[in-house]
Amino acid sequence: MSVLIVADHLGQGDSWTARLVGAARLLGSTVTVLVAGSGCQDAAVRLASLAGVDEVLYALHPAPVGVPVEDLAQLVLALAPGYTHVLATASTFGAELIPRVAAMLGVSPVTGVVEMSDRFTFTRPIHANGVLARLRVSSTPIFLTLQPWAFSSTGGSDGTPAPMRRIQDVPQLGLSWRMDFIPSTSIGQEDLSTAQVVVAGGGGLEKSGGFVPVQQLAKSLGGAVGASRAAVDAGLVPADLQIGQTGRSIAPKFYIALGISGAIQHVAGIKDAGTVVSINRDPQAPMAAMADLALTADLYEAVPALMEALGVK
Amino acid sequence: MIVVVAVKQVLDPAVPVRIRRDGHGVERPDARPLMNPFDEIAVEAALRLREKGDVREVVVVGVGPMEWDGTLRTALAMGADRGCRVDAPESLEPLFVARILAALARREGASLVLTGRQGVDRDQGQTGPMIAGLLGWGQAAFAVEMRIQNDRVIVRREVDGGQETVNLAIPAVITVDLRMNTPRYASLPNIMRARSKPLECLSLESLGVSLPEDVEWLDVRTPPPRKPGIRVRDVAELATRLKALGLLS
Repeated sequence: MSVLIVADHLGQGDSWTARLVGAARLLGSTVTVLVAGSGCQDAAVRLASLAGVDEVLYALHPAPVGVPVEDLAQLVLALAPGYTHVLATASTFGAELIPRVAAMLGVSPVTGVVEMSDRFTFTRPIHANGVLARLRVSSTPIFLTLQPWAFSSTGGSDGTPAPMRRIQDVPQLGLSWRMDFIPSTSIGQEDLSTAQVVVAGGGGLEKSGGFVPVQQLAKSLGGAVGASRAAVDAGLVPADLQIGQTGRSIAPKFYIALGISGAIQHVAGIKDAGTVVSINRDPQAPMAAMADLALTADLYEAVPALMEALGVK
Repeated sequence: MIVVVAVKQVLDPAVPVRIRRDGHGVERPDARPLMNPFDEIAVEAALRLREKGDVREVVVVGVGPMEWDGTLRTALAMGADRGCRVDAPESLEPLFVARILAALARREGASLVLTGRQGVDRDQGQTGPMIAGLLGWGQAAFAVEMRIQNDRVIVRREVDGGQETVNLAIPAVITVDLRMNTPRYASLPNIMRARSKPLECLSLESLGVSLPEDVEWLDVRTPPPRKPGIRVRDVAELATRLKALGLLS
C-alpha cells in the first residue's frame, strides 16, 4: 500500500496536509507528498519535516501563484498509477483536482470522506450532512478527498526530514491561467476548519452593522471566526468563512452562533461540533432549538457581558 | 456559440430526509421534485450570456428518468432554447453521468458546459470537473462571476483562502456557486410557450458510454442525534455552564 498526497501549500495548506498524512498512515505503508508550483521548494522542505512522511516530491511550474488545475491534473495523472491511494483535502483545491484526474483515469473517486473503515471502505455525508453513507471502492488507485477536521495529524516532526526529490516539471497545457488572487483579509488568527473554538455570526448582525462582537469574542477565546451565508451575502465577511453545506464543514469543541437563525444548509456544516451555543434575539430560531445552550438575548449586549462573566477580553 | 447546461432533478431539500427501511437508501416522502438549486443558477447564467449576445443557443440537458422532463421544461420556461434528456435511472455514479454529458457536449458542439457546483442530494460535486477532464477542457468550479471576452471566458471563483479570477480558453466547463445570480421565475406565458419547445429523449445505448463498476454504496445511517439542549436564563448562567464544560481550559 502506498499513498500519494497532493498538498495544497497555499493558505492553510500545511496544517491540512499534516492531517492528510495522519489519515494516510492509517491506509498505507508509505506516504509520499507531492507539492507543485513556482517556489514550492520551501513548502517541500516544511512538508518533509512532518512526522509520517516518507518522501516529498516537488514539481515546478512557472505560474506565479498556484498551478492551473488542468496542469496539475496532468501531472497527478502521470504519477497516480504508482500508488494505491491518492488523497487531497476536501477543500476547493481537492474538489477541483481529484474528480478531474479520477475521470481521466476512468475511476470513481470518493469526495468529502469523514471516516475510513478499511482501505477500501469510506464514509461520507450526503443530504446536507443529514445522512452518512458508506461506500466501497475497488479501483486502483483509489482517489479520495478528506475533510481535514475528521482526521488527526501524526503530530509534529520526527526529527529526520524525509528525502525530497524534484520530479518532472508540471506540464503546461495553457487551458487556463490565474489573473489574480485576492487572499481573504485575515479576520481571525485561527484556522476555521480545525479550530477548537469557533464563533460565527449570521444575518442577525446584518442590520445592526459590523462583525465586531464576533471578532472580539473569537479573539478573546483564542478561536476562529466563521459565518453563515446571510453574513457572507451581506458582504460582512469573505466567502471562505461560510460554514455549511456549500461552505466548510467544521467540528470544533465549542461552536458559538451569534445571530444565526440556523437554516438546514448552515447546520449541515456543524453536525459534528461539540457544544453548540446560540445567542439570538429570536427564541424561535432553529439554531436555538438545536443548540446545547441557547440564550435569548441581543447579542450586542450579551457578548460584552459574556466576556466579562468569563473573565476574558 | 452554444452553451450546454447540465441539470439534475432533486427532491425538495427543505423536507427532512429519512433512511429507507432496507437501510440502503434514503427517501423524502411527499417532497416535491425540483431542479437542483445550483443548476438553476447555471441555467440563469447561460440565459444572461445569451441575452448579452455572447451565446447563440442554450441547450439544457439531463440524465434521468421520464419524470425529469418536468425539470427540463422548467429550464425551457426560464428561457432555454431546447432540451435533451438521456433516459436513465436516477442516482447514477457521477463518472457515468459525466461520460454521458461529455458525449452530449461533443454532439452539440458546445463551447461551454455549465452546471451547479454540486447536487444538493448527494453533495459530491464531482460531475463538473469530471466532464472537463474527460473532454480535456479547461475548468473553473465555484464560479460567482463569468463573462466572455473574445475567445476566452473570465471567471471569478470563491476558493479557500480568498477569491481568484481565472482566464480560460473556450471550450470550458464551469460550475457555479450560490452568489453567481438569482435565477428568474418562469412566467405563466413562458411556461405555456415552453410546452412547444423541442425536448429530445435519447437512449443510453445511442451514446455508447460504459458504466463504471468500481464503487458500491453499502449502506446509509443517520448521524447520532444531538442531546436536547438547555435554554439558559441569562449571561451569568451561560458563562457558568461554559466554564464547567471547559471552554477556558
